[in-house]
Amino acid sequence: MILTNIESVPGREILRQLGLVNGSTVRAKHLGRDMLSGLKNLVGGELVAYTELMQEAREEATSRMIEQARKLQADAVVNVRYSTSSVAQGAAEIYVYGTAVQLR
Amino acid sequence: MSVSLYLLGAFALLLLCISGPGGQLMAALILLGFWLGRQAEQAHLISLETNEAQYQDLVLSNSKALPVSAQQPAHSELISASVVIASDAFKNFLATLISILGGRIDVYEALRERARREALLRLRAAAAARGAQCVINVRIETHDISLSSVEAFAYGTALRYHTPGV
Repeated sequence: MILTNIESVPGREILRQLGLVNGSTVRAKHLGRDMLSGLKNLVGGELVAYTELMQEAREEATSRMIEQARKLQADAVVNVRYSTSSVAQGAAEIYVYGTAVQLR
Repeated sequence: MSVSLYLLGAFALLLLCISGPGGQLMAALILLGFWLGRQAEQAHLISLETNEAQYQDLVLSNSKALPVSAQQPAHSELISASVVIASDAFKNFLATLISILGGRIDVYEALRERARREALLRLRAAAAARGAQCVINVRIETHDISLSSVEAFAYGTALRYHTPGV
């Protein structure tokens, strides 16, 4: 599955559009594995556990979107957009959406 | 950072110190945050400088258009990169003081800028790892993880051409 965040797939021609596909996931941030984060908030620096958590969340949301696109027999998803919103204290929603297309 | 703010900060710390053992502990943590936070910030800025120089040839653009002079790319791919950076106890303390007085909270400005630079740097690294020569339609999102930590997330379409170095 080819993903791009522009309207086309460079070098390929879009045969037809199959419609909007999306994926989302809500993750809580305060897990046991980020015990160190509290300390890091004191001394500064990267919160690696959080970086990884958000990355995994985005991967999961993206793979859900790709799954939807596969069901439509798409070759690519174009114009992909990500958005992040806070659902509750300590939880974030990752939402990703795009247009599934068939390529020539 | 203005001198008056430093004076106000020192005064507030002094008040904390004479307010009892709890305040003294808090003051100690803030001072610890000052030293370690500053070290972390300096180290990060140095690593940003050296690593950004490494990817100078890689062009980022937030336009959707393909680079003008270029032929059709051989491969295109969505890539993304992110980082979560925390402030330190001292900067949080200063930010609290500034938000009482109002005005520019430069300690948080610097934090956010570092987060965005790091996210863009990682995006460049991800593009370079895939053999791409440019990344187009770059989008940057900033998301607050907590009051004192911020996530910067960057994504875009990486393009690779047949002939390297286009």
